Amino acid sequence: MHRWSPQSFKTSNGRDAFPDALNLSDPARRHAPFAKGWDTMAKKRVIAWTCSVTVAAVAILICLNALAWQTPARQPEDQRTRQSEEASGPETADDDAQPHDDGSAHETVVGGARFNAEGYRTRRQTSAINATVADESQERANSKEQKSTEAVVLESWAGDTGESQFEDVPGLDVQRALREGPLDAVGAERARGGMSQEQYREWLALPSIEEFFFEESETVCGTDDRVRISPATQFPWNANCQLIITMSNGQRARGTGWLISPRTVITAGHCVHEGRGGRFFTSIEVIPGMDGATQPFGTQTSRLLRASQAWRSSGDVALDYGAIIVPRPFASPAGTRPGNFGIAVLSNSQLANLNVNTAGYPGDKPTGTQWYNAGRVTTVEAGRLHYMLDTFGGQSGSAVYRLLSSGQRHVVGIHNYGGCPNKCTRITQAVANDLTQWRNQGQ
Amino acid sequence: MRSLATALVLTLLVTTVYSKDKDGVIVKGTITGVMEVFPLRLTLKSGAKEYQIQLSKDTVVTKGKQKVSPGVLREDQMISVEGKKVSGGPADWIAADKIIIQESP
Repeated sequence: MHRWSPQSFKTSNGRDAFPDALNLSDPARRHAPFAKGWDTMAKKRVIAWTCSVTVAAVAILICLNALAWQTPARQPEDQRTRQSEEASGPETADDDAQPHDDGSAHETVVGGARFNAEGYRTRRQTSAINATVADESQERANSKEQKSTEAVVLESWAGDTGESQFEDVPGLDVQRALREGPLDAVGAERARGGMSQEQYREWLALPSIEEFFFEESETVCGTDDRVRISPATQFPWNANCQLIITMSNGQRARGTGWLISPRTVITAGHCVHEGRGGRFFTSIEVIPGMDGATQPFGTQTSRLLRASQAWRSSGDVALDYGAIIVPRPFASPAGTRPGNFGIAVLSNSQLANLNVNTAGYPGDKPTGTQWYNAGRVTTVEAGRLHYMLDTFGGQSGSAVYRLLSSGQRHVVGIHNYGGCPNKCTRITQAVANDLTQWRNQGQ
Repeated sequence: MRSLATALVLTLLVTTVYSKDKDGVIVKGTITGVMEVFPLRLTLKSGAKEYQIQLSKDTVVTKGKQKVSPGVLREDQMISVEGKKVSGGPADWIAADKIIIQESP
């Protein structure tokens, strides 16, 4: 315990610092230590420390408040409206009547655009390419509808009209694509062809040359046999869209989507919404048929987003899908429109070892370039499909589709997860119902 | 007056350090999902909690002290993530500065 002593309060020249208060040698004060001088000293100290503590407390409160403000409780009005709209259950035709709640943010742009080093358009470039907005009715009159719009097949595909095929893309190693990933018994039988069981096993066990040199493939499943699509102006490539996502925290990410109708783009749920009770992202720029710096059908930015109820509320990975509804149909300067995919709800046996195709915009390739790959479905789950198609970050939302000998293309899954095997949300009847509803909102 | 200024400076210092510690996190867990947006987003299960890990182009991924591509991240891998809570995102979002893939025993 500290004890006061007169020596503690001497000045450098030996005088008492507080003669009135502490000169205990003064007999008059010896028995009156709490006389007027002491009282004044104590008061001064108490006032000084009270002020210090108060200021410190105020400073702490200000800092804590500042921290609290960084956590985001606020969101744009239109998103709150949209969330309450989504939470209120299935959307009605009224949604379609007033789909563009953010007219100022929607931009239809016709013509090409250049990108800066980071792959994003600069503000000046955006305003420059926003100059031409075609009249919608005129577009319709002038447009040359491509024969690429697929029918929606909602019922189970019962006919056996032939195997699903791969796209005829130069550079795709079909045999290698067929080999990647374990096949179930039916698939093995199909793929074996004329080989004996033993020969087939040996063939499957043979590693490719790359596997001799790389212990672990760094970007894809097994050998990277992705093929670049350039140009991407023809169907089905023009139905695939590069997505530039502005998340709720302002960060940007890239994904892929595909047109199911002239104004509706289907993608992964995590490309449009945070999931698990979170929020919709701020806005998404959609660029169909993008090929490097070329944007043959222009670009549109939308805030009208949709996501499955299960993804929004609980982040269910099996139901990780959503949609973007853009303000106007896309069109090239010549009036050509991109096509759109159909969808098919297939049974387990129809999906087992099905040949499937996918194309998207992987982040490990030059910005805005579209890459294709194909392979077989290796596992069929109730809500998901697994495959060893080569994909990379940026391809979330890509269509996983079958190609029939008739030329029809039906999406059977929405690619969303990597990690070898890669995975997609399976188009079940419930998923198809949501997609159909969103498709109708973007007709 | 001097004590007042000292108290104020100390308070500000303590608050700054406190806020830095509060935002910086280290989480260890198992990858349960690799969302293929670019940059990648992971779901990470750590005990009973689940986190969303947002990678950026600056995120460093290492395995056995070697820098590797984020493309090697797979489901069921044990990883350790150093990062910060995402400002403006949900409470369980972490912007990853560094990811260390745990070597399997």
